[in-house]
Formats: sequence, C-alpha cells, structure tokens
Amino acid sequence: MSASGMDSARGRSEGRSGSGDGSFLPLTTTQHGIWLHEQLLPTNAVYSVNRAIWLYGPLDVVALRSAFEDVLHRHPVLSAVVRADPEPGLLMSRPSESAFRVVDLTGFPAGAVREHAGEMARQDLTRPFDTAAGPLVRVLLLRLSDAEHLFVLNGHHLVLDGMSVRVVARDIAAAYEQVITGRPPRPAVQAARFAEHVRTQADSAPSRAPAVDAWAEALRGLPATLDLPRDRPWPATPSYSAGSVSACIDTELVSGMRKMAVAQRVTPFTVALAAFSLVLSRYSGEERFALGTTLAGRVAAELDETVGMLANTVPLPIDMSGAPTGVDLLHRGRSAVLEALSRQDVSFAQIVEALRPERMPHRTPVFQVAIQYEDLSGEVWSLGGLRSERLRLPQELTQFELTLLVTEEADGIALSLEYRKDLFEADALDRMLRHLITVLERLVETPEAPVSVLSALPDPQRDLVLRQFNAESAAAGEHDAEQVVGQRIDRVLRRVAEAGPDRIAVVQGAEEYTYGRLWSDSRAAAAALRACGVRPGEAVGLLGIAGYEATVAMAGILVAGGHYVPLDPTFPGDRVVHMLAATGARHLVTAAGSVPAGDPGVRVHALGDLVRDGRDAAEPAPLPAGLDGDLAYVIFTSGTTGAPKAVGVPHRGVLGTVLRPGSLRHGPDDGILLHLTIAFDPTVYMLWSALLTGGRVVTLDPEATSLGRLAERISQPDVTVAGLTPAHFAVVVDHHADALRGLRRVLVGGDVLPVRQARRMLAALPGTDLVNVYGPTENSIISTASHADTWDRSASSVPIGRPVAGTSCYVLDPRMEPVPLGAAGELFVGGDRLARGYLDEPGLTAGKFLPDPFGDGPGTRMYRTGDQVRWRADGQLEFIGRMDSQVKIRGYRVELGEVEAALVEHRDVRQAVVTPWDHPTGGKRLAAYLVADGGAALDEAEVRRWLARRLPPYMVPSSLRVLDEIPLNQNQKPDRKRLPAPDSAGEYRGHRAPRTEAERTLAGIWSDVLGLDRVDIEDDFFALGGDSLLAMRVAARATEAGHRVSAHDVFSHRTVAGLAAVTAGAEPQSGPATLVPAASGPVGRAFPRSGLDPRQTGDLLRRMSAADPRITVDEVEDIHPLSPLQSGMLFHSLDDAESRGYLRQFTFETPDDLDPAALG
Amino acid sequence: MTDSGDLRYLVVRNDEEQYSIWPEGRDLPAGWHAEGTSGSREECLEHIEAVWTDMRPRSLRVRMESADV
Repeated sequence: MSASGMDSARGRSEGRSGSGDGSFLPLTTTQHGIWLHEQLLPTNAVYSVNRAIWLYGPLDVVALRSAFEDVLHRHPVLSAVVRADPEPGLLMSRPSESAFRVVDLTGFPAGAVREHAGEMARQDLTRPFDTAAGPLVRVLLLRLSDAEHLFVLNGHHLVLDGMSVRVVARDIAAAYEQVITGRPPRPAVQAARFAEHVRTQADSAPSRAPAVDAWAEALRGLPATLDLPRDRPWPATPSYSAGSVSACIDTELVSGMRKMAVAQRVTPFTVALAAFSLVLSRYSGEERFALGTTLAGRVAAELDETVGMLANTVPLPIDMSGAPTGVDLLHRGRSAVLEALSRQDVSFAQIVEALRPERMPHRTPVFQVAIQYEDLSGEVWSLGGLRSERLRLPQELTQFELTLLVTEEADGIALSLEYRKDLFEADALDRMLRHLITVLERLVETPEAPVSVLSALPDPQRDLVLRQFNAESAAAGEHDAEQVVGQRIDRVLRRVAEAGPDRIAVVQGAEEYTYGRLWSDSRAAAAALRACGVRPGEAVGLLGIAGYEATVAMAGILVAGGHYVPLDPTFPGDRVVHMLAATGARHLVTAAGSVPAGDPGVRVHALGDLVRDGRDAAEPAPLPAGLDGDLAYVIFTSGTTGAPKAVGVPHRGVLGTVLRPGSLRHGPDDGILLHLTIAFDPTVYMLWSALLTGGRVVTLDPEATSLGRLAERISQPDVTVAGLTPAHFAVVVDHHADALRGLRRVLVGGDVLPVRQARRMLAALPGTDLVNVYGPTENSIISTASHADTWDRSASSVPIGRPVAGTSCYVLDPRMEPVPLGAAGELFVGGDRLARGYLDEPGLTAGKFLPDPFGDGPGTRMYRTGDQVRWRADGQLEFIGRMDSQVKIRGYRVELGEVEAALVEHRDVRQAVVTPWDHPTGGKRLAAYLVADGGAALDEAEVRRWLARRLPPYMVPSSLRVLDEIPLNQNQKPDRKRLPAPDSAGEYRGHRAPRTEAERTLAGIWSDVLGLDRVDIEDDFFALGGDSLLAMRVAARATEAGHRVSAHDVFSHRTVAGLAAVTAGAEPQSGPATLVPAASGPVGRAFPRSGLDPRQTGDLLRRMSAADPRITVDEVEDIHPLSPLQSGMLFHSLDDAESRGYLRQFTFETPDDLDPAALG
Repeated sequence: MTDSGDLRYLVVRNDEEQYSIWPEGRDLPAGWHAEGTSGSREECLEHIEAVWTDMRPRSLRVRMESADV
C-alpha cells in the first residue's frame, strides 16, 4: 500500500477516533492475503476464529449483551466491515444489532438439549460472514436454562486472531463484572490500537526488503509441495470441509516434554514441531520441506493487548538431512523459529510474491501442511464467578490440507490433526496421530537417538504392515507336504501322469496328447539327453514355440536333471549364442522344427530325434527326492538398463506358485491357454499350473497367428483360464469380448492393467474372475494377485493385490525400514520362492537379493524389486511406478505413471506412455505417446487442454505424439528405447487465436488485465504473470461482459479456452428450456467443446434431424469443431461431387522382434 | 525419496555362503554374518564380484561334489 493512500485514509478519519466513525484502514498485506484467498474459496467461513464456552450458573443475559457492546466500542476493529473499492480496506462501522443473538432453547427436551446446542453452535461456525455488511464478529448465546448457557463467539480472521480472543475474553468478563456490580471499570491497559499498528507497519514497509530476501533465501530449493499419501484422488472442486482426530497426551508425557524443552532451551512448540516433522518426513519421503505456522505478530510489548488481526502465517523451512539426532533437530527447529520471528513483519503474501512459485489449482503455494500452537491456559472466561468450560468444537472447514493443532490448556496438552475430508480418511489420520505421539515419547526418552530411529513406525503399525498383511501368504505353506511342494517338478509330473495316464495333457489344434504319452516322450527325451552327456545341474537350451514339443522338451530336460533355458525362435542368432554362453549350456534342444544359427560350442538336438533315440533306453536313474532348491529354468529379463540378466529359478519357485492352495492353483477340470512365447515367464506358470494339477494345456495351432484366431480359440469350451498381457487384454476386450464368455478366470499381468477395458469386461461378464497379477521373474513369476471383486469400480487404477502363497511383501524406505501404511516405498519380496540369483553375476545378485530382516528363518533373503508401491488399508498393494520413473520437472516431483494414468482417463486414449525428455532449450520435460481407443481420431491439442484441466502445468507433457501402437520389448512392456523422438511442435506451434465470441472477449480481458498485446487461448494464466488479485479482476470484468466466471474458475481453468468452456457449460443449468426455442426441435443441450452458442447448437441439431430423421438429439454425444485435417477432408468431399469421401484405413505396425506366436 | 547414495554398507554372508550387503549400523538379520569388508555400496559389490566365485548354495555344492548327482 502506498504512503499517499495512508494519508488519504487519515484525512478521512474524523470525529471520535476508534469508534464507528467511518474511518478507513487499508488492509495489511496479511489481511489482503486472507481477503484475496477467500474470494477463491467456496465460503469465507474457512477464516473463522471461534470459541464455544459453557457457562454454568445464573447468567444475566442483558448484562452480557451490554458487556459485549462495551468491548465492541473499546476495540472498534471488531465492528469493521470490508470495503473493496477503490482499494480494499476496513471501514470502521457502528456495531451491528445482529452481532449479539440470543436463542432460547429452554423449551427443548432436557435429554437432548445440550447436543442440540452443540449442533447449533457448529452450524453457526459454517455460516459465512458478510464482509461488506458485517458483522465480522458475532456472538450466539444459547439459553438452555436459567443456569446453563452456551456462549459462541465467532470472528472473521480479518479482524480477530488467537491473542485477540484472550483480550476480548478478559474485557468481556471485566465489563460484565462492572455492569453487575456497578463498580468502576479497571483502568484500561495501555495498548496500541490496531489502527496505529497498521500505520506503523505501513511506514516501515521499505525497510522490509532485506527480510523478504532472507525469506526467499531460506525457502529456495524446497519442494514446492509436501505430498502426503492421499486416500482419495484430487477432487475437481475442493470442499475444504474439515475432519479432525484428537488426543490428549498423558500428564507424564506432558511433563517430559516440558522438562526436555527446558533442558534443550526450546519451547514446547519446537518439540511438537520436531516430532511432527519426523512423522511428515516418514510419510512423504522428503527430508526438507516447508511447514506453515502462525506467528502472533506481537512484535512489541505495547501490541500484547491489541485486538485485531496481527497474526501472520509463515512457512518454516524444515531440514532433516545429514542424519541428525533428535537434539540436532530441536536446535534446527529453534533456529528456524527464531529466524521466522525476526522477520515476522513480512507477510506470507510478500513471501509468495518473492518466491513466485508455480501455482497449482486448489493448493496453497509454498506449504500445504501447517502446525499451529495455541496456549489457551491464559484465556479465562470468568463471568461474575460463573463456572465456565470450553466446548471443543471440531472445525468444519479448513484452509490447509493438514494442520496439527497443539493446544496447551490448563490441564494438559491436546493434539489434533485437522484435515481436508476430500483428501484424507479419518483412519489414516488416526494412525498418523498415534505415530506422532510415539515419536514424541521417543524424543522425550532418547533425544540423542538418530531421526531414523525416532521416526520409526509404532509397534502395532509395524506389525500390521510386516506381519498381518503377510500372515495369509505365510500360512499357505502349512500344507506343503500333502501338496508335494518341496519336490522336483518332474517327480510331481510323473505322479500326475501315473495317476491318470489317459487324461488329456496337451491339446494342439486337432491333436490331443495324453499324460501317458507326455510322460513316456519326456522320459525318452531325458534318456537320450543323458546318453549325450547331459549331467544333473546342467543348463540345456530350448528353442521353440509354445506347444506339445516344447512341453516334452522342458519335461525331458528336467527328468534328465538339468534346467531348461527357453529361447524364442525370433531371437537374433547372436543373441541365442550369447544366452547359451551366459548359462553355460552345451546342449540345445529344438522343438517344432526351429533351427538355430550354428555355434560350434553347442550340440543341437531336434526333439523328435531325442524322443526316437531314447524310446527304448532305460529310464534315467531318478534324482533324490526333496531337491527343490535345484534350478528348474533360467529366464532372461531385460531390465530398464543394461544387458539381459539370466535369472535362475529353482523347482521350489514353480511348485510353490502352482500347487499351494489359493487363487493361483488350478485343477484337473481346467483348460489353460498357452499362447505366449516360451521365453516369457508367464508361460512357465500357465504350463505347470495345468500339468502339475492334472489339467489341460491348450496351445494354438502354430499356423494360426492372428488375434482373431486367438480369440476364437479362447472361446472354445475346453479353455477355462487364460493369461493375457495388458496389450492383448485390451484388444480382446475391445474387439472380441464375447470370446471371454466361457472363461472361469482371466489373469492379466506384465504391465499396468488397462482399467477401462477391465471395467468393460466386468460389466459384460460379472461372474468371471479377473485377476491382476504382478511379479518379477526373480520371485518366480507371480508375487501378488488382486481379484476384481475387491476393486472399486470408479477408481482410475486397480491394485496389484496381496502377496501370494509363499511370498512376503515389504514396503521399505532406503534404510530398509517399513514406511507407514499408505506411504510410497520400494517393494521388497521375501519368502521361499525367490530365484537363486543372476547366473554368474555375483555383484548384481548381492545388490538385489538382500538379507531379509523380517523373514522367518535365519539367513533368508528378499528381492529388491525397484518398484514403488503403497499399502492400502485393506492389505492390498497399489503399484505407483518404477523407482527410477520419478523425475523432477522444474523442481516438482513427477511420477510418470500418474501422468499416464491421467491420460488414459481421456475417453479416446487407450494407452499412454510418458517418458522424461531433455528438451534442447527448455530443460527437462515430459513426452507422451498415445494410442487412440478403438480407432478414434485423437486431437492432440484437445488432449492437452483436457489434461491441463486435471493436472498441474508441470505434469502436462510438452510433447504429445499419437502412435498406432506402443513398441513392446520381449517382456511385453513398452520399449521406451524404441519410441520415436518427442515432438515439441505441439507446444510451440505458434499463436492460437480465439475461436468463439466468448474466447475473444475473455482474451481481450486477459490482455488488458495482464498488460499484454495478445493472449494465446492455451496460455496459462499464472505463466503470464497472473496472480490472485488479477484473477479477481478478470472475473469481475468477465462477469460485467456477460460471462459469469469467478476468480475460483480462473484459478481452476487457467486458460482462455478452458474458461470459455466454463461459461458455455454454465448456461444450461440456468435455463435449459431457453436454449432451443423451437418446441418441435431437439431438446436443448449444451456442447461446450463445440464452441457453438446455444442458438447455433440448436440450429445444427435441427439441421441434422432434418437431414436424417433417425438422428435424435439423445444420440449426439458431443460436438467438436473440425480439426484442420478434418476440415480439409470435408472441403475436398464437398468440392468433388464424385468423391467417395475419406475412408480411414487402419494399419498396425508391429515391432520387428514381435513374436507372431505371442499374438496368437 | 531420501537419498541412499551416502549410506555405508557391510559385506555379509549367510550359512549357504550367499553374499549380500547390509547398511552399516543396523542390526544384522539372523543368520547373516559380517564378512569383514565395509564401504560404499559399489565398493562392497565390487568386493563380492571378486570373492563369490561359486554361486551355488553351499548345501547344493556339497551334495554335488560328494554324490555326483
């Protein structure tokens, strides 16, 4: 505010100073911040400072009213109202009659009256303030009886703060006393009036510049947001509705806290600050962040008694880096608080101004989590000796995402976590509160302990995530002996074959192979291999495609005592050679006529020859029982970086997966589809889960490689279980959903399950058990499974589920300590199905297979998956992304998977892959690759606009490219290395001019308000230098021009195009009947994306109906303007009467090494 | 995520003579013993690369060497 503004304000002030004299006080920067912020909120009741006090004994209501009026006169700021023009400020008014209301509840039934009074008090707290008319401070007195009253004081934060309430309480009590007794008033304490304080502050404004710089310096480099695990997705429109969980800490801990505070020369606030920071760090994974708090702002003694809004909210920088002890942390906290106090004449608004952080819709800049400390022990409501008792009312609304309230009362310390109900669940916050109390206890007992110890989970929560969530899978091994887990695969296969030699084991085209045949062929192949010199414990290569021959080859290699190395015929020859060398294989079996490139070091055997040669040979000597630690197979996995690694998996891994009771076990009545490459480990599961339980393996005719044939085969009655990759699943559901009708179970794994297709399938086939499976090869194919009956049908992702039998899942931080339920951490898997390691890679193996500190037996290991997950409260895991898929974009932590998930929510996007991209000039950016859903034409600009409304700007990819198909690697996961180069043209394609009248008007207003020559309709409001004040100007001018938008809308939509869509979309609610005047015409509907006004929309719909009466308005899903390409097509069609129009033909390019057998 | 790059590790071994690494200063899980080497993660893994020459679990190695199966 300017000095001349002050002068004019002073010039206007006349008459008795400090009464309802109409004098004007410009808002302080803090008040200004509050005032601006509340314009962006659905209700200003968020800024309420309130107390509810029970008064017991004979209360003189008239005396209380006049005492309150006396206080209003004594502190004129309490009767102020807000005047917005020409500059926002407080106008001192006459106290309002309605500021003191009495409601008589004496007639209310005695049993329920107290509860009813509490309810009325709560309702009053949510009633907004009329800042222009006042009152900004009001009293509601509820009269329950002559001797029982509830006194509710509620003030707007613009004129009242916590310290002021203490003064108001004391002054009301004094005035009441005076009215009752007639004694002369006590001499007034010498206190600066609020108005004087404001003027002093304004005069010292220029000297604050160094302090502002110091703030900016202290906060620079901190993460822009502190992201706590949310229980709900971001709401489109925040409600600010508050929930809270509270606890009173016991007297022993209180006295411990106070003692330690004295010993460490810190305040109890700093102790609470340290404990809360420790908990937040555990939940967020951040070591440095900003935490908001409120400082009293009573910088001089004469301000102690001043009534008004002097408090200031400031961000405290928290630093827990470098493994400090608890004591270190307390001292760091003290310094942060002292520094904040030394600069507290700088308002939060000025700090934000200096930092200019990128703004996000509905999130406060700089900090989102706060800690508030209130000392109510000195606030006394003693009215003429009546007994008083504070009624703790939970706040109905809250400004911040999460706030810890530490309240010192006469009888102890109360902690409460106040949270936004649209983000968090009470259960989760309750756990956080327990955690906080545990951390406080540890801090008091062992302040010298390192923070990692202090912040560890409380024992019950640790037990929950380590033991209880793994209890079921751990117990699944109890019946291993009867399920013959603990043997070799070949031994179990022999038992099954001997028990039912005539049962069908493998179906291939028209051929059916019995278990008897399978076993005798396998035994023959094994004998021949032994005769050729294959030794137990030796690796034997196997080149072929999924089918009977490959099955015999696998079983034969195992019967011979070796382990098989499945290789795909489409692998390049030198890759096969390399893989054989890496496993030390000296022999290679080829199945189904596959012929490899020659390698002199390897003997090649065609399976047919082996079976023939070994037919009459003696059966190989059976291997000793119980050797389930021997390797069964070696499969190569390609990590995100580096060469493929050979993972050696023992028999135990397979049997523990397919034989233990549970949802992964199949039975003799099942027919299981085998259609993927044998080099992919789901094939191991599908094959052995059928053959070791007496079921059927159904393979595809090698010639039948089309997707249609795959679907056709699935639809046959002999198939009951199919395992599909996400890519196959999506296509099958979209084009051949009927094929799935006869299936009992569909397993989808290998990558993120496409949710939209899952929903489609479940809607069509509610009885089918759709299972999302997850697992690294290093833990025998499958580690977790989630069944559709546990899914929330509206969620945008599905969990990866619970640990399967024999697997324990741990979600750990980098120090390998469990993270809280709900928090993101790295998934480690332990249990008895782990692979032995990477063949001939001791360093790699030792770095990924770590000691399992939570395991049952001594010396057990756990595998570090590299995947980021979180526990849900129901004990299922949610996949977040690869640990290395987290990137920082302009200082913000971005999870690529989150952007991908948002993109596939777009109805025309089937699949999305997002990768980080080093932009030649723009630093690190995101590049997205999209596949259209069902042949829809994707408009990149439209997708970008759509996304910009859902994600903060730093999460919107700079490049969007539409591909026919995402290239997949050998493991059926997107092959990021083969994606085409990003395309920045979308972002910098030049000026996008307004297209509609609304856009033109809004763009004009933006240019004026922002001082720009022209505005692109896709430009971000904040990127152009907009702020909350300018947003209000835009809203005001747009409304004048007939486009009803709020500042809130400007904050949420942020582009001219987005805002124009809002104004278009808002109209039908006000009166749909007026949209289409013709009664015979289509019913009025609005299509905001069409860019058409209601009259044009109506015309268009009528013309459509006229052209083709079969088209009704209900069938019109949406109207879009033509893209330039589409306009061109239309132009050509109209131009050329002979034109047959543009028939769009879809061809799918497949990657070079795609296995045709895998596609079916 | 907290940076784990500055953590120091121990080289550890279990009774099957499988090697691994473990953060220094944290209690060793049951059945694991410090092998005597400590250092950065990379230093520890390099050491393991040099000394873990037979990756078969000890019980398997003993069986294969004694019984020829």
